[in-house]
Amino acid sequence: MPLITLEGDISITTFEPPSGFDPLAATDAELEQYGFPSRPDHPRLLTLYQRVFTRLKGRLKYIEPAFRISREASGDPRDRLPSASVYTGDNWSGGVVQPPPGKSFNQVLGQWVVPNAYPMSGEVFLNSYWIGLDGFTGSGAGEALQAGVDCFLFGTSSSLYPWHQWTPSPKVAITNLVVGAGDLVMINISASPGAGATTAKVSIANISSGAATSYVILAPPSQKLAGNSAEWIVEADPNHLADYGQIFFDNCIACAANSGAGGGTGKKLDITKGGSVVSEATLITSQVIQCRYSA
Amino acid sequence: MADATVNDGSELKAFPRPPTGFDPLTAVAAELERYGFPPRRAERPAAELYRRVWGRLKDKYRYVEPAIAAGGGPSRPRHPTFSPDNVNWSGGVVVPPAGTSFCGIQADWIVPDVYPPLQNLGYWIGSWIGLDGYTGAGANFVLQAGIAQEVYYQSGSLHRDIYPWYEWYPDNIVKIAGVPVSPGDLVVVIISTAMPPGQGSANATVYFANTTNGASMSVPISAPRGVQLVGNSAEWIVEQPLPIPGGDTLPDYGEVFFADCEAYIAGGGSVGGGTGTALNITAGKVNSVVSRGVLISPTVIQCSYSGPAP
Repeated sequence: MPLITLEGDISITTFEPPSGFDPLAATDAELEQYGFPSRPDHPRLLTLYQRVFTRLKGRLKYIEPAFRISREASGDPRDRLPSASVYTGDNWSGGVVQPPPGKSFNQVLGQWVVPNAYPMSGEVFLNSYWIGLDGFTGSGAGEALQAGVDCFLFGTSSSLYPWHQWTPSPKVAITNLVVGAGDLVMINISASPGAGATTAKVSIANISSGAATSYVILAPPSQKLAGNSAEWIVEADPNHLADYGQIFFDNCIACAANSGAGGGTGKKLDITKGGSVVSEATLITSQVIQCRYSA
Repeated sequence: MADATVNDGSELKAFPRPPTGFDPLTAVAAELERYGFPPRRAERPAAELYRRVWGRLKDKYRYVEPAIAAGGGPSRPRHPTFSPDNVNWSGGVVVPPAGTSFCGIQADWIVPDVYPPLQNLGYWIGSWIGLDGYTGAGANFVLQAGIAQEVYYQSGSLHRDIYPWYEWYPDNIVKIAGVPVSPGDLVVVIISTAMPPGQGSANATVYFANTTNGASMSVPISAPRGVQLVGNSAEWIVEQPLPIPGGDTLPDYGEVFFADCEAYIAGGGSVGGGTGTALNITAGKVNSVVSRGVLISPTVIQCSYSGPAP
């Protein structure tokens, strides 16, 4: 289990599963040993788990991840963090749910097709498509555990890369898991036992190409998960939002001990600019959330 | 664009290029028709969708003169069976209210990135919308338009050819060149029929816009000789060609969400594409779904690749 240390007290544990490792045939202990998501108990999640790995069978390419601190994102305002208990930010669009009273979320998952966007007029654009826990309200408002894909446009160049972040630690990009526009990505974040967790397992799969990785991260120093929200988000500074067309977040599920919530059952959030909506969310079904560029 | 005669003798006539600053939201019906824009319907949700499409394109609209490209993928049959489990269509299909016919259809979707399962084998996949081809009097024709993707791996590198196309079956597929489309782009396709709209029409306009890069075009098409629109079905489909025995023919396309799925009824009104029947592509056996259609909401249809044929 190699341990990677990055500046800013970030350490990440990666794994080295044997080639040909089959998550469907592996024991629970092997899944744990090789950093794969644990096999879910819930029948619906188990079906999804089996479907994903059946689909990837024979072409799953485990990537031993390499990382860099994401400089592109580090200068962005963090208005995603509300100053009060009520969300007042202006850079999240999507859906957010909260756990049943007395429970906390310990897992969030979702999948989506990564949209294309073109660089225009030499300006800088940064769209982030991600899922996560916390960052929305109450005791979780000051931090967020997230993983997703960034679309960064500058001049005539564009790049897409997967990343994770446990704020206030900086965003960490994965440099060797290729994501192309039009690819279907699936992300799972587990943070046992929920509230109080100080480690999280981040699993990212490019279902289209078969490339996948999984690793364990630590909470920022002296911080713990609250687990009091889960969200599926298109994020951007409204002044630097690129036309991403639309995204359908699918299989939006957040889990708590012996319970869970569909991502489309809570609140929807829009990004506004000057009073008009520039990225609009629609809760389509209990597990499908649409975000649409509407500037 | 120059007039041209395509296969089977069907003619491709030209629309004049719209003047700079042309605004389809304020143009009169005759102007829309002259420049090949879809008719603007007054009722919801059509009116709202029209505003949204043009709102998206407003600042980056770029008229592209379409050209007919050589080739055009495999010769394809229409939908071969009427069962929800079939071998080449997945998605959703609706039929019009009794006594009416469909005169147009619309949707938008993100073009997926498509991966060939095997090296050195060519794959074709189409995501499209269309009228007829499903049942009854319309079963033998299909008026359809969408995006085709031809992919293959050679020496480890992935080759992709992505292009818009249309077809009024039994005429052959017509491949459009010159319209840039990349994986991840959001495309809008609108098919409208005229003279008269709906049943009995032999004239259609295919309107196509890539709202991600702004490229837009319009093509007028004529029915195959002796054929008229029936308008008794409308469908939103991810299609594979007929399976080759012993081989996968469907590449991994991830998933496609057809959104804003509306089928327009001649005389007014519309039917949401997610209110009818879902279709799956099967490998010709029970429990062998390789591409699944799911009706997500009244206007959203999901198609997802579900793995190689068992």
